[in-house]
Amino acid sequence: MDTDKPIIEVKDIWKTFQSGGTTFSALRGIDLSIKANEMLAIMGASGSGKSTFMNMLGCLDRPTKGQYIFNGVDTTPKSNTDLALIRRDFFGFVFQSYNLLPRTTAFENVELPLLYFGFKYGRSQRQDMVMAALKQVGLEDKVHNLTNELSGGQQQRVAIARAIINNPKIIFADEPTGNLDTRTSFDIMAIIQGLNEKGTTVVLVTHENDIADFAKRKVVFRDGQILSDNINEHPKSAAEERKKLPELIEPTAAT
Amino acid sequence: MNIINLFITAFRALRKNGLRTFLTMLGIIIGVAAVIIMQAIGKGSEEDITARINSLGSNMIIIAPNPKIVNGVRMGQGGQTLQYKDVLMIKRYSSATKYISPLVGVSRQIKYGANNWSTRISGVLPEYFSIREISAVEGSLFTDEDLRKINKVCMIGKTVRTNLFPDGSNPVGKTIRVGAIPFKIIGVLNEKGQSGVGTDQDDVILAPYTSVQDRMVQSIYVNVIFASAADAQSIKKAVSEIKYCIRTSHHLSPSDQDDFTVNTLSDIMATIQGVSKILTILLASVAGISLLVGGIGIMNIMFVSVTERTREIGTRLAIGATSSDVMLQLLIEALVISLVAGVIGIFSGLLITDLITYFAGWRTSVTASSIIISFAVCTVIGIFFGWYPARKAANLSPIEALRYE
Ligand SMILES: Nc1ncnc2c1ncn2[C@@H]1O[C@H](COP(=O)(O)OP(=O)(O)OP(=O)(O)O)[C@@H](O)[C@H]1O
Ligand SMILES: [Mg+2]
Repeated sequence: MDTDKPIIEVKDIWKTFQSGGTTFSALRGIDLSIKANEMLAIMGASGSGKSTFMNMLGCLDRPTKGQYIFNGVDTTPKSNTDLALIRRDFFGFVFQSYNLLPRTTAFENVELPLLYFGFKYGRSQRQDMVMAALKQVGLEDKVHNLTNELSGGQQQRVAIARAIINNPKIIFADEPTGNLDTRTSFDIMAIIQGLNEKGTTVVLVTHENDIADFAKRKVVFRDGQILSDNINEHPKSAAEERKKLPELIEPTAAT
Repeated sequence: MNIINLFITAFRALRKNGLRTFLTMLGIIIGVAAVIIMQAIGKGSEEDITARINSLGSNMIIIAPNPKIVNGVRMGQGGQTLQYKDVLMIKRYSSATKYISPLVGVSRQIKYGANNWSTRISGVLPEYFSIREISAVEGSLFTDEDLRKINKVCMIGKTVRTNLFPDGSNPVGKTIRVGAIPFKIIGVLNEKGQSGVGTDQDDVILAPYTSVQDRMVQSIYVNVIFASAADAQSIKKAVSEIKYCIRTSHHLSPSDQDDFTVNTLSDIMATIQGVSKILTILLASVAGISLLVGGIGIMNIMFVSVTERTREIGTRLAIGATSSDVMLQLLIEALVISLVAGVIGIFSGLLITDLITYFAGWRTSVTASSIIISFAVCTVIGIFFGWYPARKAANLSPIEALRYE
């Protein structure tokens, strides 16, 4: 693939909400392009429009005005079904609150996207793919646990395994570490960085600088507009940072 | 999602809310069981009635008098139009009629010793035995000779026997008084039980036609004429021949109406079946209402389920489900509910039907068609009542569904 050609290109995107008789523009004329294999962090204050923007990039929502070109194709006139197929074939989502299906196992959650490919993947092929994905996030020993039997960090790893099962071009992660402690956050970010190193484009929403430092590019939003857009020359390695954190020491009566 | 996974997913979703799903199914279960049970009872009683009517004698034809109508005016009363000469006419000219016998009857007080019983004595020809499939369990039947000699002999049915001979002694050879006239009992008739219309067919005394006609009735008219066709196929032909013979014998002009009616067992059966059909329709509408209520229950629970799982639906949409995937998933869930309920309903219906037969002794008969219809109705209910909630889920926008609290 021509890496210089943008995989995502948005032109003058507006998103206006109508509620209770008033209109409110959450996005006000955004222009942005993202190249393949970038790792981009979207930052900004609460309510600045980060999630709204990312949902649009993920084809979960449509702009009120403007153009969104994904992979060279204008998505604006596409039907809902076409957008669903774009999500299925090219995107993976990681949410702050994991969004795993309740009372199902890790395996079933990760397998779910494959089921929407009709008869493309047979039972044993699905089995292999799910096991590989769970191994990649280090959860091969929790395959048949129900999701409510897993810790927050483990649940988020299941969600990541689910997001990568279709071998997506882009992973969208909206505050993936928002519900996790620092240690676990760095573990999760190490996995995401690993995916980016293997060629997956990552769009990450966060308001923590520590987390954004792992990205290669930082875009800051304010009131629905881009305030700044900078390349991070020296992105930190989450795996390295994780090692630097002091190990938790059990408090004892002696000390 | 392919169809196999859709069904697996639906089963899993429903199992998670096992109790709730079962309660939702109850309406359909009851409705389907009711359909099966009602149909089985209806069909069973119809068969029962048919069997009883057949006990009257197969291929039987009954000719009854109608009031004579001349120029639109009713002549005579009680419909005394049939005579012995009509019988002779039919005997001579109707080839499709195998047996024929007139019947004259009078009610009399019957006495034997100190025992009294009031019943009818009927005068018939020996051919009557063939028409009604009558035989003697004790003694013998009377013969043409008895008829010719106008013998005062008779045969009695079981009810008459138990009332006149309560001690169980053998009635054959004993002489009873029919009114004032002594008759000698020469035989006891085989048991016939209740007729299709509920009369006791064993409360009878049969005697030679001539004996009753000459000694008691003293009228040229007969009450009714019984005939039988050679076989089931010739019944129609026999009926039309009989009509022609009697009209000729009665000198009716083509413009005159029949002064008699000819009934066959199939006519009588059709009447009774008509009644039981009305009953079936009535019961079916009760079952229908129960199924309707069950269907609304499914719709209700599907709405609850869609609302509860809004976020799940959002997640599914995010990972690539199309709205038709979502629609199909919920439609199949509704279908699975109604079909599983249908299967449970069918089995409970069969079980209850068996219990009814076992404990109440009613004749029941389950037909394949009622099971097939139950399945078809459940499919329709599932799709019909699942449609709207499924549509609602399919129309959710991914982002609204994901943000749903
Ligand atoms: N469906 C909606 N209807 C009305 N207003 C909305 C809707 N969705 C978002 N908004 C508004 O748009 C603005 C941007 O919301 P958004 O969720 O994108 O913020 P955010 O930058 O992700 O904030 P946070 O860091 O708190 O998640 C907010 O003011 C919010 O109230
Ligand atoms: Mg947000």
